[in-house]
Amino acid sequence: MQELKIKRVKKEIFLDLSGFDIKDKGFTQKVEEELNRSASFFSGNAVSIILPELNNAEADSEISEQIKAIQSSLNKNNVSLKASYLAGDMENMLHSSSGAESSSTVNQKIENTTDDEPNNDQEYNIPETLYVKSGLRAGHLIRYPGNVIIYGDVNPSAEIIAEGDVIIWGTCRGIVHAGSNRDKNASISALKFNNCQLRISESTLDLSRNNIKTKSYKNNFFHGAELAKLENDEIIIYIS
Amino acid sequence: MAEGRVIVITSGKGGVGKTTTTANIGAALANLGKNVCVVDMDIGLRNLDILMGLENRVVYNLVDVIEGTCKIKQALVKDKKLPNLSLLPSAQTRDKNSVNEEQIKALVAELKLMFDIVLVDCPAGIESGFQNSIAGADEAIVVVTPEMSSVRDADRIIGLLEARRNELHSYKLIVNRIKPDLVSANQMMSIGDICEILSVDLLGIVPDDEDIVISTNKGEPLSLTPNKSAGQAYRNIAMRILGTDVPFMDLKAKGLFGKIKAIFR
Repeated sequence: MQELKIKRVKKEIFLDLSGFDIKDKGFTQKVEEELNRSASFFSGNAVSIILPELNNAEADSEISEQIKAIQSSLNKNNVSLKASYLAGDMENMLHSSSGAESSSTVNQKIENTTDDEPNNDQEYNIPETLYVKSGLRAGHLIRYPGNVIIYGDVNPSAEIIAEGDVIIWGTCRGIVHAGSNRDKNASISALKFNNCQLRISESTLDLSRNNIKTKSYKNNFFHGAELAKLENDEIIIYIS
Repeated sequence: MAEGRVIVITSGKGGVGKTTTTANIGAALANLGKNVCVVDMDIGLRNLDILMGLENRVVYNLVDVIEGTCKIKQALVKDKKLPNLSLLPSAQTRDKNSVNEEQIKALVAELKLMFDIVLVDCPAGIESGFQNSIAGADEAIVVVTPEMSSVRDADRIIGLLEARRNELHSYKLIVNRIKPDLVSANQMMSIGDICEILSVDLLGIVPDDEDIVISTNKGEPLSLTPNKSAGQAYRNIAMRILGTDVPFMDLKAKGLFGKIKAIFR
């Protein structure tokens, strides 16, 4: 039974690899194929993996190799690895109420090597804000159950879907959806909006049209940047 | 012998001039005395041999080499004029699934030992043909035309190249088919607009030139013909690839209207 199972427990996403045979030489390749197939679903998220049960402890070094391989294929798909568990530990963890850090995690927590993900606070399963330390190019998609900060431009046909606010430290030319969970208080801010599509909650605004409603934003704190907010279910652009 | 450089020429969108660029840069580099091999990786849609005027000399092709039907040296076709320029043609009767990344990597590694520069002409798209082409490449050149659709596709390609940062240590941009008249009349995206979106180093600017069509049909790369602006652009690009610092060509709008506009700027 070689298939990838996806579990979601308390906002945390687990990839269950216990159906795979870790001793199999094609293990990493098979896992990678599975991940590539389903990666867009997790894009922008942090996931934990559940490894198959092992019989002897000698294979530890081998496993850490495997974990690194999985981590790199996750990172390729814009997903970061949060932690890894053995199948047995996982069962225990799901039944215990604390559920945060199991004492016998393999290699404890894996250091996050990507810039995409700040270190996880133990209190929160998924950090509230995702900080992406690069621009987004065409075809990149970020889907996140919180706020998103992009340090760079969002290029045409790149897409951000966030349940919270979106802040772009650069020019926004792509598609941005803030408050995707029908949060009408969400906002989108960027140094400049340029020919992009903005969505807040359930309202949409096409900035390539001419009749865009703009208002002057009288707050020095925001000087120079542009801000999009909802007002009577209509997206208004505030400029300074 | 030192290993050569493998440069893949790609664009995402079709019809922006990847193959023309490959043929012209290949010829220009060979003219500068380098030992150059151009590889047509568009398996199933063979074009590069026509642009170089070598279509009747093709005996074996890339798939034959990979399948072991022939040796690599048997498949290489020497250029008519430049003895240090060779073409590795692609197969016309097969498709992109007849090779895989590992095989291409091995092939490219072998070519690297034989040539100073290996130019790989990548097929359009981002599927297996593209993935195969960038396997084993050290550098990439992204060809873009001043259109939104081309820029968006190039942006996607650059994103995919960035994911391979460990293998591909540089990627640069060639803006092809720019029409200076239209740019100065604000009817076409300027070089500045394109670079702002893509934020990649510029390797060269090639003006739109009718002579390209003529040279393509003749099978003689324009970069060997003196006194042609597009040919000069390709020669400049070749020199920049070899590390010479050549200033970008001055592509001002010509004609009376352009001159008048220039005065009032």
